[in-house]
Amino acid sequence: MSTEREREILAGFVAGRKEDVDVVVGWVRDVVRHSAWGHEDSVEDLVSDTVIKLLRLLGSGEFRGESSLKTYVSRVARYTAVDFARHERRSRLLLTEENVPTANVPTPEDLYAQKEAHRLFDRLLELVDPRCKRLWEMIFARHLTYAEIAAQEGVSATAIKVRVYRCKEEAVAIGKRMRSRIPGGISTDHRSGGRVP
Amino acid sequence: VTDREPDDISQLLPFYVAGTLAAAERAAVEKALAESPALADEVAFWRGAAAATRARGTYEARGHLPADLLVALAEEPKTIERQQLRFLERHLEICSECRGDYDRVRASLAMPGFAPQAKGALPGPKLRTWLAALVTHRPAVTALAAWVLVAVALVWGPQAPEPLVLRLDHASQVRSGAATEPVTLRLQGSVDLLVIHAEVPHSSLAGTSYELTLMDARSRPVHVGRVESVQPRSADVDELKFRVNVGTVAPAGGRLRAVVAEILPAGSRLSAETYEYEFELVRP
Repeated sequence: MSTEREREILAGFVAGRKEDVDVVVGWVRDVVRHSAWGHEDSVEDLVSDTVIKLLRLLGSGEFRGESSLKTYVSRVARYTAVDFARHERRSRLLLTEENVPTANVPTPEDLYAQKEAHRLFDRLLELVDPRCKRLWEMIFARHLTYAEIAAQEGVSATAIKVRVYRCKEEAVAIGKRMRSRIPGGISTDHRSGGRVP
Repeated sequence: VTDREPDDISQLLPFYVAGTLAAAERAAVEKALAESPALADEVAFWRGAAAATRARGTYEARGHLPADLLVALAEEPKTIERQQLRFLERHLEICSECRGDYDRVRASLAMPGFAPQAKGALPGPKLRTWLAALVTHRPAVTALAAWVLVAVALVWGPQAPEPLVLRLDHASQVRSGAATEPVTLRLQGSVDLLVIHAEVPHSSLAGTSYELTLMDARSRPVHVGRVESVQPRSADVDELKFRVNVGTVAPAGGRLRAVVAEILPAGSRLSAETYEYEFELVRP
């Protein structure tokens, strides 16, 4: 495939042109449907997650043409598949009664919804911009105040608050590319009964 | 504070959920929440994000290799610099989960149209296979060779330098909020071996083990190792001993984060804890 053709596909994919999206999705599907991953039931989720990552990476000029576009896309699909496998393992480990708070949960259905939301937020963490993930770690894991984060990052406190807010907007936008609703406007996949937007 | 615009309140919500707002700001958020049910949806979002981030932190504190690095190792090991390659190989030997992921990446490369460039890239297994065969089929020769090597090393070998000892106690724990400045350790001369004694709350559960992950200033794991020994230090505190070659993992010194992850026996229903410490290595 010529470099010129690759540039066309790249531009078309980022712009959402169907034939180019189909080409890229075909490359992704070739990788993620491999039986080595053990994701036979989640191939479409995995394709969706990879495409969301690719839109961010390719849209921000991350691909510099050092390899062919197909090689680059396949590599992103592979590490997305690894991340997805880790997400599944984490979900099994973390979705225990100890880790999902059951206070004020009146019914088993609500508990299920809560666990499903937890699973989806975990998946969402793989898809947001790594800078957002880092900010969330500082806020929720290291419990830094916005003033402490601002001092660490060398920017104003207002800038930090705005960045965090923009991260939520980005997460909500990513969630809308997934399916069905969970708290805060994020959406989930078909297994929890949602509809394709 | 009370006449904030709704957007200002929205921007405070993540910090409200994290519990890091000042009292006046917290009161303003609570007042706004009482007046605007729509904000509850945003709070629900941040509670979900907070729970997932904390759970993820516990998992990642065990120092699993980033997925993109695993893929690079499988696809193009020759592009990885030697020192990092050694670290990755060593990590794959002790982390069964990363090893499984790595094997799956390798297996996925065996697709039509993809060159299995990584075939035979890791040199370790060949040497191990040869040694295993020697030990199995020539035990007497192996024992004699080992005895000679030990004797030679004892008589003529250079005396190993005394390792430096770093004590990480409650005062240097990051998550407790007690640490404001990291412990500083000045390395002397060419001494590269560091023994870390980390204090953790006493665990009475038999079979509990601990794993140390050292992370550099960019939060990338540079060393993973299992605990060498666990000694009760007091009625409430255990002292864990880890051995680290800082000459390899942090040749330039600098600020490091030590994450000690508790590894519970299989089938335990308890939640494993992690303890974090910060320290700074200063080269002479």
